[in-house]
Amino acid sequence: MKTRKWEAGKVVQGIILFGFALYLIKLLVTGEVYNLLSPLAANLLGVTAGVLVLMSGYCLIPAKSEHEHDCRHDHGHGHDHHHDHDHDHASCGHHHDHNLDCGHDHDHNPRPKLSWVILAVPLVIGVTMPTQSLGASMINSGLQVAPITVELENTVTTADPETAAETTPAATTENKPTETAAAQPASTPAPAQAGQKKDAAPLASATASKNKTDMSKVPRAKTELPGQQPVVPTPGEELRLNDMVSSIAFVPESYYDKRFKIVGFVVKPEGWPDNRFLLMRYMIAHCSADSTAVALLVESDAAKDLQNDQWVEVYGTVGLQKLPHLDSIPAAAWFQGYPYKPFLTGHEVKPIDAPKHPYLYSQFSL
Amino acid sequence: MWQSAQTIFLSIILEALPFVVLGVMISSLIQALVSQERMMKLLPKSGALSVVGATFIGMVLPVCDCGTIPVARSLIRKGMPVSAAMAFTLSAPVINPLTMIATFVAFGFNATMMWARVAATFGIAVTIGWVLLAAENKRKAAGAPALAGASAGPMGLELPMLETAATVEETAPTPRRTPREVFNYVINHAVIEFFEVGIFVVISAAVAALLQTFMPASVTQAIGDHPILSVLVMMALAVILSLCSEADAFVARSLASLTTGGGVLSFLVIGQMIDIRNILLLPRVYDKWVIVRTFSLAIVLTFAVGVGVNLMGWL
Repeated sequence: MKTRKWEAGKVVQGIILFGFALYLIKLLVTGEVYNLLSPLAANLLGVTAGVLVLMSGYCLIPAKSEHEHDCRHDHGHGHDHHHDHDHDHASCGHHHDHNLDCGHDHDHNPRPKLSWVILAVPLVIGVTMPTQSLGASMINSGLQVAPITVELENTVTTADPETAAETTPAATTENKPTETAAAQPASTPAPAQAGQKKDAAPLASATASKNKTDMSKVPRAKTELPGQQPVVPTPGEELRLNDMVSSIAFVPESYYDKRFKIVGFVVKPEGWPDNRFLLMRYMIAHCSADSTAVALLVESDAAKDLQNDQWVEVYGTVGLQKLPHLDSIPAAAWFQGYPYKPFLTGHEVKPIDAPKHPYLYSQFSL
Repeated sequence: MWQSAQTIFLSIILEALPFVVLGVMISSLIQALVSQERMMKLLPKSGALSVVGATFIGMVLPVCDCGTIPVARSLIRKGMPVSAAMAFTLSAPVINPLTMIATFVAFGFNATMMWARVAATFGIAVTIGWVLLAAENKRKAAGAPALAGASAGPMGLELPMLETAATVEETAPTPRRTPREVFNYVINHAVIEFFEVGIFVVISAAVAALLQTFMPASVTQAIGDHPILSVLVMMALAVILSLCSEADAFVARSLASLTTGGGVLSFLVIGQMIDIRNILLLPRVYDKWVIVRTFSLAIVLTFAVGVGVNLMGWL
């Protein structure tokens, strides 16, 4: 006698599993998955979705029993095994190839369990509410830290008198022109720039320093970038913030005074002037739970029209400025403790739609 | 902020999902295909050696900490002593190729932290395994039948395991099953375990996401450079964050600038041994006395390693 039986517990399990599979497929098809995971982790989800479909199919296709006897009530030995122990049920030692679900409901009650609701929670949240990539609101999260820590060969600090002089270059040069001119080659570790401008008037060199980065102040790594070559970007092309943050201290000549296109979203910390904003991006290795934010200060008059989380393409030139206050915002604290930081002079700021891949990935993403 | 919490919550679940599914599949395959006799043959005769051997199972079964638990349960049911199974549970998430590569890369292609992590995890897992082994032997000598594992025989198997899987004990499968039966059996078993493990993955993801989103910066700033306190705070952070072993090295690396080398190492070691997931899941596999010993030893030993590293000035 053949009977087909639907069981509430199995059906509910099947629905939840199928729901997960559908949700994964939806994430993958819409690309929303990249708001959450790295591409490799997303690929793993593709495989996972297949397995879940299999599992849900198993639960949803009604069990067919060749015996009137439902072995679920027999300590669950619906499998074609030999059972050696005492609560073994002989009548279950037959072929039940469609009824293998009857093994494990030791409570003799295949009714849905309340705790399964917990499993359905992420499903409901994920399906009903759109999931955005991490944005500006996470900038003050306790887990955000400086995006880069390298040992610099520069020793300039805020207290350094040379630094203090730099803040008012015009005044210094005008008051004691001869002294400054004499002192500069000696105090500058990299005299190339100073040598070039030897013949220029002191005032002219002061103006030049406004437009051209003083390479002697540029944060420069003491050691080599371990395990990889620093990224040398092509001027005029797109520069990814993670490449910039990882490499700028190693090959500064390839970055400063060069023009790039950089993509990110806008963060405007409270109390900032109208012509400044942070261009921010999250870097992830595996998923958004391991994200590190990197934020580059942009100076542009377009800043006043921008809102937090607006994605933009910025065409600008990398420069160097004394920005010690950025150390209080972890994501923007490039070279923490060193007062001079790279920034971008934005020539053009173009609002864009959020990119397909909102996160930047580590060179080796899992 | 809630948007971000949602994003992190879902991404923790989704990053863990493939490994949960892999874990329950491996566990079900072991359950279906490895007979108790074969397991006994695979295990070294000496309990002490079994413990050492079990720490390397992760090299061939790369599962993260949410995947190890069903696998450990299957191993126990197939006759592996609790001591060896615990050594496997503690070490497999770290001593496996994926995690080792991730740690190597996260720490700037420098193998020092990776080897330190592997060595510390190995040492602690073996120590705990041996302590449990001694306890097992003592109980056996005292004639207590309540101990699971090979020595206790099939009867003992059911005692340490709670809930569903424990009450239905399958013994060695017969060789004359058709592939289809094996397949059905594996899927059925996997569904049951998926629902058991999945619930705890969801709960721990929720806690971790809320913490990551709403934890004020003052907490991380407080980690500090104190050689002892930094280790304690980093350990607490690892437990609460419950990160997957594929991702935690990257978080540890980013926190490295805020803390000591010993703090980072203890974060990497304790995080895969004790976290919200494990606190919820391990009691479903192991007896209470096993859990109490394991957790307290893991905490003390990890702390000692972290502080030792700081005081010696290594890392």
